[in-house]
Amino acid sequence: MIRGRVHPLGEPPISGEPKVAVTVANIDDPARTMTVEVTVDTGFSAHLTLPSETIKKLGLIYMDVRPAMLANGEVRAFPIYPARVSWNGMGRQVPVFESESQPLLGMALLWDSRLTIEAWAGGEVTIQPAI
Amino acid sequence: MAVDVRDAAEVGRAIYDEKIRHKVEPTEKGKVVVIDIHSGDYEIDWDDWTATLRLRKRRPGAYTWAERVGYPAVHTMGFSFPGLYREDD
Repeated sequence: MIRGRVHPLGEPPISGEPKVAVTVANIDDPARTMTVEVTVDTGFSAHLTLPSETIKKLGLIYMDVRPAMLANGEVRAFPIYPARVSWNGMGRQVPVFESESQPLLGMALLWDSRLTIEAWAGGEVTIQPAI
Repeated sequence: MAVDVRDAAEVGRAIYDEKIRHKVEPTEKGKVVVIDIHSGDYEIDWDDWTATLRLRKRRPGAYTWAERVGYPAVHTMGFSFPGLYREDD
């Protein structure tokens, strides 16, 4: 099971976000790995976003481009990079979207999992396989 | 990198508009079309990554763009306050 916490209000990133830590690795060079605190965002339809600095540190290789619509209606093209994510005891190859916001964990990565959030300061966040 | 991304978007959209859109719009609404912008070859699936891996298996050197049939983008992404993210948060 993946466990995390709901961030308190008033501290950056200020909006009481549910956060978990995920470990991301370079597919070709598994020694290059980082554990990143990510915000669980069910409004994000793909797998994962990371800022360019983190992508650079992991040495991820640029692969393709995907359009995503932001909440203000703007459509932007995002570079994507394949990476390996440790997910409930398994390694999954997923596309990482390059975005300078706080890292996001989206519905495509959550798919086939059970997500629980205690929506209060310091509340527990859990993600476990549903099947 | 930035120029490359813009080029891929432009070429990918042109291939979709000219060669693929009329074939898929009547029957495939909501599905994702992943397009290799070098060859014009494409795959369709409800899931972007599934279609991408299938296309790349057939065309290992593919450089892909994607469209969601009948919609303005493949994905949705939340909007966040810029500048508040720090790696040590």
